[in-house]
Amino acid sequence: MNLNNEFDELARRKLQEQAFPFEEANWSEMQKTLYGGRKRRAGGFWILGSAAVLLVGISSWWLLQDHSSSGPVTEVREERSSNAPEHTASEAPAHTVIARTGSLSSAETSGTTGTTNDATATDQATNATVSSAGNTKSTGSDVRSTSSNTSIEAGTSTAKGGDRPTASIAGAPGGSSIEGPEDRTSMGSTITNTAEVSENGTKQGEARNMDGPKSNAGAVITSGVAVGTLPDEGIAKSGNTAPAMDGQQVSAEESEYSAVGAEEQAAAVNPADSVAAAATMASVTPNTPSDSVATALLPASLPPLIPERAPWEISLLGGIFSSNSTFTGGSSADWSNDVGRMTTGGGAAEVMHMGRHFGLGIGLHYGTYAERITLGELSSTTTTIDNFWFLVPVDTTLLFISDTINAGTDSSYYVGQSVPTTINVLAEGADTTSTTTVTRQARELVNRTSYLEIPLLFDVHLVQGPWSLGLRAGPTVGFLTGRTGALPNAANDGYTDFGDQAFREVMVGYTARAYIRYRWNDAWSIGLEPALRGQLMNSLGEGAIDRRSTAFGGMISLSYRLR
Amino acid sequence: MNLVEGSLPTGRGPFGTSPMVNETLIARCLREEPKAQYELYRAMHGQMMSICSRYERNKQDAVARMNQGFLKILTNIDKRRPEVPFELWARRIMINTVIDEYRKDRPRKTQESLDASLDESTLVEVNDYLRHMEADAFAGLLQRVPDMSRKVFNLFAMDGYAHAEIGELLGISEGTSKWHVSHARQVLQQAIAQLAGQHAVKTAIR
Repeated sequence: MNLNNEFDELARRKLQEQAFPFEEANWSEMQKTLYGGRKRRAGGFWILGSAAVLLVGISSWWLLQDHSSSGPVTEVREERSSNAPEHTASEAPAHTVIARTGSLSSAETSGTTGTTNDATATDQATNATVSSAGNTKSTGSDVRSTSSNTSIEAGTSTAKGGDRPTASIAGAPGGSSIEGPEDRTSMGSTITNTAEVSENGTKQGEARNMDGPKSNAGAVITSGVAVGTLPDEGIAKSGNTAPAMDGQQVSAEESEYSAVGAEEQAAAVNPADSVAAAATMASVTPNTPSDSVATALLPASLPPLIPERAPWEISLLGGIFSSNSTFTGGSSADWSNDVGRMTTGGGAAEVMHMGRHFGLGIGLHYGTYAERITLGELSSTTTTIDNFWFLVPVDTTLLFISDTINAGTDSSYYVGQSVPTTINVLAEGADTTSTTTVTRQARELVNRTSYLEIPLLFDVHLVQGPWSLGLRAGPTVGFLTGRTGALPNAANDGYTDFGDQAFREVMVGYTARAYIRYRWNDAWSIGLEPALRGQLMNSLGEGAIDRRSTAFGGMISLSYRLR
Repeated sequence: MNLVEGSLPTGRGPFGTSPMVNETLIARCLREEPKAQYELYRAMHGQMMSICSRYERNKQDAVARMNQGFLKILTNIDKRRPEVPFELWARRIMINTVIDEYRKDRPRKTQESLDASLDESTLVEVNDYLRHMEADAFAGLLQRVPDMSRKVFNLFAMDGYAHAEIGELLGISEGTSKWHVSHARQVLQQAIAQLAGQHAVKTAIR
């Protein structure tokens, strides 16, 4: 029984002596089990990240929209004169009505409409004489309509925002009239302006309280008035009475006209033989002295519809990169020198708030890091030497002494017989056996990992004419979107597919670019941008092998500067 | 099986105290720091593999069982009572993992009979030979022992479990447990005796 106990104790000690060196391969297996759940959590993080990107995008869009839709803005500038002269075509001063409205779409629409108006006025106002007490000018579109021999006698046309109804001017006497479509409705920001001046007619329209624009002829000018419906009033009103012609007084029953929604310039130029017939977006303020040009300023709180140049810039970029990764730790010392570069593509969208020399913004970058690893075959050779013994026959002659003869006191003779024989000599030999085992096949691995990155970008730039030179860089947070490839495993006796390899789902990295851009108009520019990006963390997560990727290349950018 | 409760075998197991596993490392594992988990795994790898390789037939199974046990260690590390030494607690979990797995696919009963015991002089020779034997060679011999007997022998001789505990763990009687220990011991002793005999013959030839 004691011997059995001793045996147990010896067995236990013997097994304790057994060594199990740590193997990274075992940990790799463990990681699959251990971090399987973490991948699912990372999936949730990915959703959160996407939601954040979406939120940022929507916020940016909303900010931009808000910027350009800050309510209808109508700025009316009217010049007053106590005694408005009776304008003739030859002496009619320039009249200006500045009408601005607040929405971008309105501006564009009204601009277009203004052009149409002007064209209409030019076409139809020939030989019409319109004397105008107020200058009508709608700024913003740089479009002036001029019709020769035409003058518009109109009270101060005031484009006014706010809640006033849209008005039209109707000039009736003598068949001459300025009519605004009373029930013309412009929904939203659409503005419809028409300006019609009948040929050989004299615009007789006159604001009721204004002196004297008298038509010289019986021509009829119908000036459709820009009708812009205010947001809170969907239907434009027209309360104009017919303007006087040849002494007939033109009254504007409802003399406040509002033309909303347009930053438009319609100039009534009054050369001797021509009068601008643009009555667009004019409003006539009731009770305005007939010889005065009313100046009404709309609430100053309403900013200009669109600033000359907004600080926001949107860029789209695309390009190619030369990518590589560095590997350290684990078994990578055996093959890290066999890693080569790969060409990959990348794209980006960025929103920047640009100042004079500095800018700040965010983006959404998509890029791939790749490398090529050329691995040779690994093999191990085991040589086994087995000793063996064998007998070697050796022919020899043995001398047998068969007798001894004494020949005296001091001598004797031996009788011998030689017997030829064969003896076996024990000899030692060795068998050498070499076994070569391929532990790792030769392979060329092409590894790719793709990330969707959100960079925080800082920009410094210098503008010289149409050219811009700048640097843009910042940290990035990248979300792993795809991976293909494999790596030699920890024991360096096989390969671990990227699908089975633990990866960090969220990465911190950096991006940096220099750029030169050419702006060919106020809004658009194109650029060439050498770029560098990289990762600051081990993309393989925890483990013995550390993989960090970098890429450099060039991108082409297309940028739009909001105006 | 409760991983935490239950008596811990005291004393004779192959688990020594690893100086690398300290309370700081355990606290970091409680916070689920991946690096700490890696360090703990590395520190305990040898000990865990020592257990699993004794119970499993091949290395692949031993690694799988070790990882399975380590996962249990990590997921239950917060349940460890502070007064229980970590190594002992971890060893208990590892052994339970192996036994649980064995019970899942317990083989049907096999008829085995004990061979004749070796005489005392041969046992002395066996022990002498074992004393100088390579550890890996003995581990190889252990794999010759039938599954159930090997597990019982491991539990009894290597990990210090009593026959009553073994019976409870494996769902066998104490007597059966004793039989398995004897059977495993005989298989091992006879194998060693055979090796010792061959060694003696070679020595004589030389």
